[in-house]
Amino acid sequence: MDSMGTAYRIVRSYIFRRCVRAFATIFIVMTLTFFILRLMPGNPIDLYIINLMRSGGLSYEEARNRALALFRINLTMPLHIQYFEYLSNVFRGDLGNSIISVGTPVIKIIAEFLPWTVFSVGLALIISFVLGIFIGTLMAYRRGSKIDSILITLLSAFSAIPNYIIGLLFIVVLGAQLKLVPFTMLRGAYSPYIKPGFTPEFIADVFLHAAFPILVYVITTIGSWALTMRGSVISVLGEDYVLVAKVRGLPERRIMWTYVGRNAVLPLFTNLAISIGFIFGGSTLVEFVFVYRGIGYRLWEAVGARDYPVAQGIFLIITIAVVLSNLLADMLYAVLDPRVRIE
Amino acid sequence: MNYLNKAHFKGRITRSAKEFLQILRRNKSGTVGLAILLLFIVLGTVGPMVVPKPVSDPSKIYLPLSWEHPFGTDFEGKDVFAQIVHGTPIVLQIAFLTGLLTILIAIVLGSISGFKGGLLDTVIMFAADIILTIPFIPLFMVLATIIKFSDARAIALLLAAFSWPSIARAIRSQILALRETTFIEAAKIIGYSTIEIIFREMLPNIAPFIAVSFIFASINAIYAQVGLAFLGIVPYIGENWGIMINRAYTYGAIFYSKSFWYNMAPILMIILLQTGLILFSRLLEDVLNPRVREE
Amino acid sequence: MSERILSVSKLSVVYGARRGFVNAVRNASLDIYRGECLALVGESGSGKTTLALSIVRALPTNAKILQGSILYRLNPNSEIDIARLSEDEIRKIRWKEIAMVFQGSMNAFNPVLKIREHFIETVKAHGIAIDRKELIDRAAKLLSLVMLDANRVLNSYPHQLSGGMKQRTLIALALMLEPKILILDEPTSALDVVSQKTVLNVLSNLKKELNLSMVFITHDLAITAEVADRVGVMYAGQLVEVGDIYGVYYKPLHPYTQGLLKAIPRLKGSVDIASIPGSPPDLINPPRGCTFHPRCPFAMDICRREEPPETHTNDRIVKCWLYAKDSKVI
Repeated sequence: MDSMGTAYRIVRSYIFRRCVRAFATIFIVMTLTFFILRLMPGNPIDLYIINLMRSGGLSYEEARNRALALFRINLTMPLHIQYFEYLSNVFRGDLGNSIISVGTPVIKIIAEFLPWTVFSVGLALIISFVLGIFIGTLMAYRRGSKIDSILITLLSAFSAIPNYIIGLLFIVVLGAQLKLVPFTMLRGAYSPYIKPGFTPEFIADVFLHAAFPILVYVITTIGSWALTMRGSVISVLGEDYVLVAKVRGLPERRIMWTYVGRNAVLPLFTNLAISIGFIFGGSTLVEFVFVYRGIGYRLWEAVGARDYPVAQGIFLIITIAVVLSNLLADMLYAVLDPRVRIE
Repeated sequence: MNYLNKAHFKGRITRSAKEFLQILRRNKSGTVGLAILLLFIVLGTVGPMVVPKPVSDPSKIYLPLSWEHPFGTDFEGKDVFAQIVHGTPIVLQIAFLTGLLTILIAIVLGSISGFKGGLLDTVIMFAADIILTIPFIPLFMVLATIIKFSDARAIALLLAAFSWPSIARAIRSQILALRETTFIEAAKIIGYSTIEIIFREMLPNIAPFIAVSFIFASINAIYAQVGLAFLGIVPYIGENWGIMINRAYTYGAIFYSKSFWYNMAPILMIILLQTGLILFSRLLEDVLNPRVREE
Repeated sequence: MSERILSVSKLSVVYGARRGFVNAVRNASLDIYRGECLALVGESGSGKTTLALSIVRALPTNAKILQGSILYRLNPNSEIDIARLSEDEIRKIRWKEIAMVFQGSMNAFNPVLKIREHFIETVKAHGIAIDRKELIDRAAKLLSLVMLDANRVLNSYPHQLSGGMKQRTLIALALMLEPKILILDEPTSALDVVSQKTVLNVLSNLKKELNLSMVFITHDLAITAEVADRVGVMYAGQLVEVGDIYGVYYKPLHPYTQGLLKAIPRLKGSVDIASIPGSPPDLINPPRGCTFHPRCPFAMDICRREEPPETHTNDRIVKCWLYAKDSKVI
């Protein structure tokens, strides 16, 4: 019957393969995290046990039990059982408890800090992408002109400078030197004296606090979007179907949007994946610079305090966030490019 | 990267001195990049021999700029310029070592993938995809808690392990495309051995890309090592521009207007170096581009 | 004799290149009549495509119409000069009055739009108020006319169609607005022999059924005999001979036409004319006088000095000094 055919088509389909790849990646990362924890020399569990014994005066037995409970590991069971238990824990959202903030589940900590990062990074990505596309298209239509060459040099230079450096530049110059921006008051995701809620006051405050991190993300990523789009538009403008569209008497506006625009933007989606990974990873540094309490900042705190469960949990979550965002980008690409869908 | 369109070329990736000077004159921004790069290399090699090691001197805290102290002094009385100079070698070493390792790994794996195909190709590309997705700064942070590097240069290997995938991918696709072109087939028919084909025909086409990738990998390495040092997660000792910024941060110097130059010095150096490298990469592209001679 | 609907007169077009200006079309004059198929033949670089692009004003940005007029009979009592229209005005002419099908239509369609959307947007772009269903019906009819499965084609994306199918779809699309003139630039060169034959059959049918005027550009003389009524021979940007197709082929007047027919070139790309010595001229600095004189076996003194005038005989227009003294010189 045709059910075989449908099954075959689904398995071969682009979306399915991307989903499989996404889950495989998450799975592998979880496995790696598990093994690093257990098998590395000087692994954190042993160190923690030693620490507990030394400072808390506990016997090895007691210290070990405490440690294992904290890390959700049962060393008496064979390795593969531990592995499955670990996996099932993760799937249930149980990532262990924090060492430092005793009793607080890691997952709760993540839930508290993650939204701010997603908010700032997500918004920055959208702004950067959209602005970059427009600038790139503009440059392509004015190709060879003075403004084109200036922008090329400027944008390439900007994309090479580290994002945290630009952040620091803002703080040092605008904050400390010129005293234009009160950065010390902009710490955290929102001001402590304003009550959280959907009030315009709070929302404005949130945007204010996120303004500089977002600005930094946009400045450092817009260059590559614009330059890639420029190249893509130039290439599409030389395609036959654009000339044919003109000869068919289609208005300039329609050609620019549906013929040039939609086709030129496609290659950018493959770049989106890399950009997402970079921006999530780089959020650690930028959040540190501006003391923006997102997941990146919390990771730094956890690492500094040697709070392993939290550190590992955050790392896992960040990776999962990257994988899922990439999957989303892939699906968006499939929606936009029919050639990819029907395979 | 349209190197694939240049199906007919002279196969020379070297240039005569005269041609080189012509390119320098034409590509002004690239020449600036070259100058900056040379400046840093001199700073890193000759500098530490000439400039004395920074020494803390409580009587000299936060001195203003002068010929003796081009960037002033920091909160401990150490000369800022000297700190920069002595931090330069390690920054450059790690950067270029990472770049080198990255392209070596990428060339080997990318070529195997492109030439052999099959299972090896699938495995390598799958690994590449996974590595590409994992955000490396958070990973390094977590790793740094468990691993301590004795030699700073071991970081280069770790960084290279995360930089090779995208480059290997690109090399692989270029090899795949080149394999099918008629001039490669012609070369095979004429009787060139595989090694000859790789060196005579393929490499000149890929050379600009590899050189530029080397620069980009170096830029990335600088981003990572300074960034990690800035966060205070440096598994080694020594002067490093990132550590300078980290100290500024932890000692509150960032917000102190008197320490402006202490703050700005490493920032400016990093901006200068990265910009120089990017501009230089454009010069490299120009120089190494195998082109048809214009009649 | 049917009415004349397009009259190209003394048209000159140049391209700006690094070394100088390329005279792609020089002093070309050509008439097109209702219901006829005119073949435009010549080597690569002879100016055929440039001439065609000028008619629909789709020249690239570095090209310019230096002089001449392109008079089009819009309706029985008005003639407009296409060369002088503004961009907005020419947009209304394009496709609705004169349509052009390019060579290599492999990439003529927007990859992200279905074929049916191409038809719909074309009609909408010209502000024609038509019911959606009627529109699709008309498109389907045209697709059957070019021997395609309308339902399948309309609902496909371009990459799902073969080269031959795309070529025919483009022809159907070109007829959607019922233009008076259809220009086809090498419509069959990228196709295999079987598809070629299909397309040629389709074109013959169209000519008969729709009283369509066609300009068929090609470098392949053999094909022209199947569809064309008249033929225009181009060399180095000039029309050297125009006339009834059987007349030209059985009794070619211009030495270049004679050389062409002797060689009967059938190769793609640059035509190998072994029997005409020499090589095509440099269009940036064309030879003085008659452009063909360096390669002409009958070259006379005047040929080296002055450009020959157009000579009109009973069924022929020739640009050659050999005939200038015998017949009326216009």
